[in-house]
Amino acid sequence: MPEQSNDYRVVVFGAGGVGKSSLVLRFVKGTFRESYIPTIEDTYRQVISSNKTICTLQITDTTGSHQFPAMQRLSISKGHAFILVYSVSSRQSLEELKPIWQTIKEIKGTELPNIPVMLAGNKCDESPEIREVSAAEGQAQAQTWGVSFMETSAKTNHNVTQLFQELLNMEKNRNVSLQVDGKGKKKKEKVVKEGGEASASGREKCLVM
Amino acid sequence: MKSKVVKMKYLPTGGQKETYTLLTARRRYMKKLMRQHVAAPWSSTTTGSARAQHELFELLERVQCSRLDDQRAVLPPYFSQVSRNENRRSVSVGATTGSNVGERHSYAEGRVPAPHGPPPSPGAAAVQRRVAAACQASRLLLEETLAKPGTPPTIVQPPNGGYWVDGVEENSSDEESEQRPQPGTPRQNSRRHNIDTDDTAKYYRRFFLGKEHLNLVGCDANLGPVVMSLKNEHVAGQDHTRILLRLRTETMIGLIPTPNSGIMPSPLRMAKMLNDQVNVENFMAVMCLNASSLIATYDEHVLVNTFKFGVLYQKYGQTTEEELFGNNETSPAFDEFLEMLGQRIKLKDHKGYRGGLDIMNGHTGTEAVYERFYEREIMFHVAPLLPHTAGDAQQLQRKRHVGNDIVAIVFQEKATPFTPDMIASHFLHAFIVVTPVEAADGETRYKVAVTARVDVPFFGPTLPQPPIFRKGRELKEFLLTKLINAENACYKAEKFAELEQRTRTSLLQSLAEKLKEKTVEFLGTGARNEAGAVSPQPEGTPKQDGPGARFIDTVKKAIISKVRSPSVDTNLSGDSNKNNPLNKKINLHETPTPNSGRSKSSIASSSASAVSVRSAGGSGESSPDVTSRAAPPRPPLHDHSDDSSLNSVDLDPLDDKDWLSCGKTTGAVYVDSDTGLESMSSAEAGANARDQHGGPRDADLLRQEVCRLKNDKLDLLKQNITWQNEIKCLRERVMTLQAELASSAKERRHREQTTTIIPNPSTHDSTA
Repeated sequence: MPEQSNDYRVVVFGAGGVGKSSLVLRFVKGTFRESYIPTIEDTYRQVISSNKTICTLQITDTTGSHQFPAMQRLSISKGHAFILVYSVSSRQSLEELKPIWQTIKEIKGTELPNIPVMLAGNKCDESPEIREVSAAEGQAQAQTWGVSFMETSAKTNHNVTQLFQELLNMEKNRNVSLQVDGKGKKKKEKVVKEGGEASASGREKCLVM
Repeated sequence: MKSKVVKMKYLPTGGQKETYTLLTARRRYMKKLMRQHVAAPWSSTTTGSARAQHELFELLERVQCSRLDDQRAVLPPYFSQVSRNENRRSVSVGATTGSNVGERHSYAEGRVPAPHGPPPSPGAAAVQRRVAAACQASRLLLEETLAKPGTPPTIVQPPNGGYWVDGVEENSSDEESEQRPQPGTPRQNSRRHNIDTDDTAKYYRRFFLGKEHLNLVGCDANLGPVVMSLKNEHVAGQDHTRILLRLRTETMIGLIPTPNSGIMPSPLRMAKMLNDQVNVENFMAVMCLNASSLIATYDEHVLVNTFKFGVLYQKYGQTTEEELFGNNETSPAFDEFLEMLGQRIKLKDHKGYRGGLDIMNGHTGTEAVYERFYEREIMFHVAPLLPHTAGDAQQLQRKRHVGNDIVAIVFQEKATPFTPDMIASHFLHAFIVVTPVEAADGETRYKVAVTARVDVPFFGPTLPQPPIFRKGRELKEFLLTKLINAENACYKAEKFAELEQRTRTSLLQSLAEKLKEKTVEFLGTGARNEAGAVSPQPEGTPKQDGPGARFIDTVKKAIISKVRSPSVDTNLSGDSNKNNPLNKKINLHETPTPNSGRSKSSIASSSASAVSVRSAGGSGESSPDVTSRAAPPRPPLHDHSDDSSLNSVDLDPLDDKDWLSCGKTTGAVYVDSDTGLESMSSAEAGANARDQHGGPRDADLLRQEVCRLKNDKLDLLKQNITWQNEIKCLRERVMTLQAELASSAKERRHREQTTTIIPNPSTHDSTA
């Protein structure tokens, strides 16, 4: 499927098993799958409407293995926005994001401040005994990098839509936003919402509706 | 913006609420299950009851899903084809699969929904059911096999197929062959196995790099970008041309004898000899300094020197992936095997390839098996060495490494059936199953079998008959070679080949663009005009004014470096006159002027355009003029015009607009640009002259500085005007387009009206 020029490409990176596919699936389909099946690379498209135009949101769910660096670089160079996912129950997964962030910085260069990037701490539903990374640490890491932060859980559907919506809100040029259907997605109190507010880069933020 | 309500154009899955409640129930159930597992070891009874409940939940889910299906729109047949394809391919699966594999493999199949349609999920539920059924079927088959008397076969093909198997006897007479252990292969003397290598990838470095050759880049309307390398060679007493033709689909190599007449066929002809579909209008010669390293990097992007393979331990009777990943105790035989396979290393501060394992904080265990093999580094993800997580049925910490490997070794405690789709993973494509066998003389022997997905081509080295090996170096060589070849073969499997193709296309595209860009940058207009690549109108018209300030520097440097100009002259053919002044300017434009931070390419484009404008005006006249301007003995003539010429530039901002229209008003522009240059050079020259006559250096420098700043200011003003003009033009355009749009809408409305006033043509207006 050839990519069209009005695609808005969001790429999801992270170590293996942190929940990238789960997050994307939860967002796109609303389903959650308990079993872990390593992804090679999947792309999902969804048509969303912004204020004046219709555009296609293309979400690329990448592999957590380090198998294809060339492909990773390609995804980065073509991506418009990025979500870096780690699991709060695995400190190593946060460590593994560092080289990915380096590559993004390297490839995007001076355009970096204009590119929406979210750091997502997934599996926040895990019990405190298993948790290895606190919300504060995640927030601090995000601040160091100058990106936004949010803790999510694909399992309980916590902050999933908010994650994508926030990302789209950060995109200044296109004015894309996602009007969420009120049906089932807003029932969660936004407990960790304050984690997402503070953005070091001082980008303008729209409130989640 | 926050309060604006935007109409949502996509439909969330309707049954979300139901799924949610089902999920909470599921979660509770799973937690209960896990608690059970922690309390008691995995026994068949627990499995039985768990499975029954599990089936109940599946049934429920199925019912749910059919309701979801009711709410979905009927999809065009294209989508149902997807799920059909999916069935043919053997799908490995875990307990429940949320989304089916067909959807995930969306890139090729392009699940683009209708613009306002629901998110794509073609028969998701149906495939899910089938896949769950397949998993059950596989497991059942395994258990049946176990129940049969006698030694079970090493590998059992999944009932849906999808894998090929090598090294397992079809008939039950394998018992005999096992009791007849032969010391390895018929050709047992340590024969070095061949690791499949991609020779095409190394071709450039081997034959072209470092030797005289040509690189050409072009674009074919159908095949996309083309990058070709040519080299002359004398082979077997005759001249040949060695060709390396790179297309986005593949790279082709060839060696073609040069005709004796001495007339070289054109690059296109040569390309056609390798691939007659190629049709490139004009090849551009690549001319920039680091072209060959860029090309080599592209060619070699497929080469891999690091590998990671999974190693799983399978006990007798284990039929699920949870069991496989859950094994903590192994056997001495397994340790022996690992010892033979590679080096047991401590992960902490490991210096070689780490294959994704943690070498700092011990998050992925303390030890691993690592080996260097013929200049390749191999890291083994040995499941029992990776951290075990209590309460996690999936053993995520282990599966996230092994499950992301393409090839894995399964070491069996003793003969037990293994089926390749036991482990749900899109990555795992090939398995090598090793089973220790009893030998009469007590020596350790291993039986080896191989299985891989159907779209993986065969890979060597060939298994001996019977596939029994003695422990030792030979088996190690065999296994490591087999593993590496397996991975390379798996890259040709559908899923990986597609991604590789996409990457390759993109890399070639950017290589071709980069080479063209750098050539143009390096040579300036000459290249552009010859290649017919770009119109003389520069894309970034504001940049055109860049050289205003730069010209001082560049011409100054040109004056200084006039020694270099003759050599530049000889290098270029044909349009040397046009190119000379350009080259001199470009030669040393590294130092940026204080106020303008413009890139080199802007100079190239702007000076290119300037030159083209000039040459359009009358190359015969201009070139010698320009050429001679570079020579120093000019200053005395222009001293007087110093200030005045500066002022003339100052007072006449309209010049820029002419430059914008680029070449149309050639006469005027020619004169203006000429004056401009002259004034600049004379300003410099004047300053130089004054310099030579002594006087306080500082004052002169300051004066120069002032000139420079003045010119910069002029530039900025010019730029401003240019941009404003552009904006004006664009606004005009917008208005005309809007007017057109309005008029055509009006027309349409009229036409509609007239069609409704049906029969009497005489009565309606003539406005339609």
